[in-house]
Amino acid sequence: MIGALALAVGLAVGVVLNPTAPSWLDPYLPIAVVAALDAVFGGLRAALEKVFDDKVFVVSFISNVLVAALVVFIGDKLGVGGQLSTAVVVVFGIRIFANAAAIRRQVFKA
Amino acid sequence: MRRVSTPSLALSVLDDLARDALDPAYTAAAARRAALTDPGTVDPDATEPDATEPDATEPDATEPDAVEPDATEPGGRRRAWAVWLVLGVLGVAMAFAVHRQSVQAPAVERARTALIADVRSRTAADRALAARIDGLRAETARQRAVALGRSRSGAALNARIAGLETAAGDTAVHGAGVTLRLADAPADPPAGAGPAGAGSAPADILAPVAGRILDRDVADAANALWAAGARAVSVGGVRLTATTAIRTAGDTILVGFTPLQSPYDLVAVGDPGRLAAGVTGSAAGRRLAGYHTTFGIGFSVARGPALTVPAATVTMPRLARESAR
Amino acid sequence: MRAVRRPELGSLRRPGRARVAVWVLLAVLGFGITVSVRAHSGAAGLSNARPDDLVGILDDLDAKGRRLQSEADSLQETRDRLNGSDSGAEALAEARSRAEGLAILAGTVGAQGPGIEVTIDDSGGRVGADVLVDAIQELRDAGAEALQVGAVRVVASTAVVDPTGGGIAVDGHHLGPPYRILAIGDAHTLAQAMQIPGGVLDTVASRDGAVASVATPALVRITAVRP
Repeated sequence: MIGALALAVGLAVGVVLNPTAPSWLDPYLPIAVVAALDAVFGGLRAALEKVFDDKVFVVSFISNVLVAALVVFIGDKLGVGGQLSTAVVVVFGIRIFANAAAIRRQVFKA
Repeated sequence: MRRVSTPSLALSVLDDLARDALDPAYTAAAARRAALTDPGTVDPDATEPDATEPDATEPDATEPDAVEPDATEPGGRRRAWAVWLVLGVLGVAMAFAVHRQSVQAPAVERARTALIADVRSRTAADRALAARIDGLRAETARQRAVALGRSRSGAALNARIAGLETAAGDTAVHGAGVTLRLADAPADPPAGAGPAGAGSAPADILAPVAGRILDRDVADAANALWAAGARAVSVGGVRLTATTAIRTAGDTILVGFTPLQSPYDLVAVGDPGRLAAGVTGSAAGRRLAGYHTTFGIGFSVARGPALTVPAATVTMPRLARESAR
Repeated sequence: MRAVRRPELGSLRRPGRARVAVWVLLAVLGFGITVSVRAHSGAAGLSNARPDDLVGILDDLDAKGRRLQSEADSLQETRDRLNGSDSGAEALAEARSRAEGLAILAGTVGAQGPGIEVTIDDSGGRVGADVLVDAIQELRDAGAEALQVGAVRVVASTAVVDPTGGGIAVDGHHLGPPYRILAIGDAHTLAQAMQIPGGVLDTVASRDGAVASVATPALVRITAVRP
C-alpha cells in the first residue's frame, strides 16, 4: 500500500520538477526502468504468494538495474548496444508478463 | 543440458524465463524463515541463494556442486587453468572489440553526439527562458491591471489587451475538439526478428521516405483543421500562432523551432463533428488516408470532449509597426 | 541475508530499514519513469539526424533563444519601470505598446516595416494551395512577423484550400493569379528563405507556366486586417 504511494510520490515529483535527464544517461534510463519494473512485478507476485522479503526485493531491484545498465554499457562498447538493449527488454518483458500472469491468477483465481 | 530433447534452444530459453519468473531468492528466503521458526528442517539449497540475478540460463542449484570437490585433484587444477585461459582469451577479445568500436566510431559520430547534446541543452534553456517570460508577463499584466484599473479608458485598454492575447494565442484554450494523430510507418521487421535483423542499426536512416511523416503533411493537416473551423491548434504540445512555422531539418520536424518526433498529435479545439468531417473530407485528409493504406503511416482522428491547447509564449514583433490604415 | 527480523509479512510494527529501502526504491522508480518518458518525448528523434541537419536546428534554436532573451530583457525592464513611483503613465505606455504588438500578431491592425514582396504568376493554373501553404511556413520560419496574401491577412488560423474551379481560396476569399504575398521581417533572411535550392521559387519554377519573383521594397505595408 505504502509502496504504491511511494511510487505515486516519485511520479508526482517527476511531473512537478519536470527534470531533463543528462544525455549520457539516455541509453541506460529506459532499460533501468524496465529492469526495475521487473523487480517490482516480482515483488508484487511474491507479496501475493506471501513470500515477500524486503531485503530480497531491494537486492533484486538494485542488481537488476545495475546489471541491465552494465549489459547496455558493455554492449555499447562492443558495438552491439542496440541489440543487447533489445535482448534485455525482451528478457525482462517476458518475465514481467509471466509474473503479471501469476498475479492475475492469484488475484482473480483465473 | 537439463533437458535432453528440446525443440529449439530459443524455445527452451523462453520456457525457462516464463517458468522461473519469480525470483528464486524469494522462495529461498521464505524457506529460510520457515527453517528459523522450525530449526529441524534446514534447506541446504537455501544457504547460498544467488540473489543477484536469477537468470534462466543459470544452472540449477544442484549443478555447480559437482565441480567443486574435484578442485584439489590434478585434473581439477588443469581445469582451473583452462578456466583462466578461457577468461584471458575472452578479455583479449573484448579489448579488441572495444578498441575496434572506438576506432570505428569516428570523429563525425562523436561530433554528432555533441551536437545532439547541444540541441537538447538549448531546447531546455529555451523552455526555461519561456517559463521566465511567462512569469514576467503575468507580473507585468498584474501591475498593468492595477495601474490602469483606476481610469475608465485604462480599464478598456486592459480589456482590449486581454482579447488580443486570446486572439494571438497567448492564453490556453479548453473545450471539445479532435486529436489528429500522424505517425511514421512502423520500421521494417524489428531487429532480432530474423537473420536480417542482425546489424540493421542504420536501417532507420535509410528508411524509405514514403512511410515518413513530412513537415508538409503536418502543415497540411493543421491547414485542414483551420479550414474546418478550429479555434486553436497545437502540434506536439506547441501552440500554433501567426508566427509559428512547421518546418523540417533533415528528418526532424520542428514546430516553432521545437524538435518533435513521431507520433505527432495535433490537438484542435472546435466543433468535434465539423473538425473530424472537415479533416477526413479535405484533400490533405484523403491524401494522408491514402498514405495510410499504401505506406502504413499512422493517421487517425479522435474526438475529445475536454481538450486543452496550451498557450504560446508570444514574443512581440520587433520590426513590424502599426500603420494607420 | 542472515538476520530475518520480521518473520511475518505486513506487520503493524515500525517498518524495518529494508522496508523503508523498498519504499525509497519504488519512489525512485516512479521518478525514473517520468524522467525517461520525458526524455523520450523530447528531442529523442534527433538520434538519427545528420550532422548538417543538427547544425541547422542549432541555428534555429539560437535565433529562437535570442528572440526569447530579448523578450525577457524588455519585459524585465518594463516590470522595473512599472515598479517605480508614479507608474500610471508608464503603465499606459506599456499597455499601448503591448496592445500594438498583439494587434499586429492577431492581425487586427495594419502593419508596416522592412520585408519582401513575393509574386507568383501562374498562367497555367498549376500553382495550388500546397505551394502557398509551403510559402507561408517558409516565411514564418524565416521570422516573418506579419503576412498578407492577396487581400487577406494571414494569421494563425489562416487556411488555404483549392476551391473547385481553379484559383486558391484563403480563409474563404477566392484569389486568382498572380498571387502577391507581403511579409514583414528581416528582408534579407526572408528573401533567402524563398531562394534556397528546392525552396518556394524552385517549386514554382518547376511548374509549367508559373514563375515567382521576390522584391525587397524599402517599406512593406500590410493593409489587410482581421475583423
